[in-house]
Amino acid sequence: MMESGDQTKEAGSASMRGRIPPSKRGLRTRNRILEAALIVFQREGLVDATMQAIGQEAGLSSGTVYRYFSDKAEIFAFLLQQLEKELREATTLPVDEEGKLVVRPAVLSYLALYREHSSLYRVWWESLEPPSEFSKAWVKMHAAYRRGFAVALKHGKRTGITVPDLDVDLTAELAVLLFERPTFTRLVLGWDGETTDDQVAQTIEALLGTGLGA
Amino acid sequence: MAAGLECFAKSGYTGARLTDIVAAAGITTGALYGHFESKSAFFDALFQQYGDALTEALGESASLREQLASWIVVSREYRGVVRASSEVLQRRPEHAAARQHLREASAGLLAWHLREPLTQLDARLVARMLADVLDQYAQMEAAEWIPRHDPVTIADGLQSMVVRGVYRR
Repeated sequence: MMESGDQTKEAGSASMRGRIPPSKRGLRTRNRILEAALIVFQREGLVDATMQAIGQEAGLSSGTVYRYFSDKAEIFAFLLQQLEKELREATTLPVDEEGKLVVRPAVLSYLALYREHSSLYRVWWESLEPPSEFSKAWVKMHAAYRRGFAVALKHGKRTGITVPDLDVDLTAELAVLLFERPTFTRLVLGWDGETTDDQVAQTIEALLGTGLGA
Repeated sequence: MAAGLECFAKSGYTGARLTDIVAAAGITTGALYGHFESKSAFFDALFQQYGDALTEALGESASLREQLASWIVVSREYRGVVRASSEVLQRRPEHAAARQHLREASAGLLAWHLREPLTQLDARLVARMLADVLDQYAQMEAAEWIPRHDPVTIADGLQSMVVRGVYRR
């Protein structure tokens, strides 16, 4: 049900898609387009954004914008690709000497990464439905996080530090959701303004630690 | 309404056309417009129905575990609403407000059963977090990004996480 054109592969590949050789001046122009695109995506959403509006925001003609990117989806894919390296590093979860997940700092750095790129995340979430190449990239990122959790939990189960009958795969899935969704509701939807980052981190730490039971 | 649910499940919000809904329901366009003035009004009514079904199921559940399982069950019944809702959540502020309202109502109902196992943290905060997790789980399942699991298995996993966490004490 998802489109799997060439663009999908490109969204996750290392090859640069800008068609103009990145001379110093070319790079500057490209960055100007990327910055303008983020502003337009955030203001109008990916669906309603146009290349013309991006050009206008960047102070460039649409012709110039088209020389760098063939459409807005290509610009968004390029932006995601830039974020990918940071995301890959973030999916390596810290564990302590016993092999237990170190949750609180992981949540806080996840929130920090999210805040830094909040306009991009906003557009990414918005582009999940109806399915597009970007939902595919998102599912891929989600799966990478899940694998990260599963590795740590599986190891913990083997060495006997987890609760005995832990369902590793389901718990890993739920753990990713605990990171992803409250961050989305806080930073993209702007809900729960009265809650602090540390309260969120503390709660997730309890759920992925020894629980909240008496 | 049932025809609408199916169309939204299959085609998403933008893709669902009122003419298809009308055809599937075996009624005339005029009859549909007699009830709803637009697609968004029709969707809002469906979302309201989903919200009522969800809060009713949560209110009737005797335990947290039962609540968590019924959340998955109700979201499956309303798969079309779940999909279409995630599609318009960021585009229609009035829908975001309705979503937030439903999340507060459902979190309040979860918090009711959370008080007992909770010893340290604010039940409301934990309840909102569970509501968020279930919301996204439902969204991913509706979009078929993850395989379907038995609702009771999911509820057990989540309940266990709340009470016992992941690691031994």
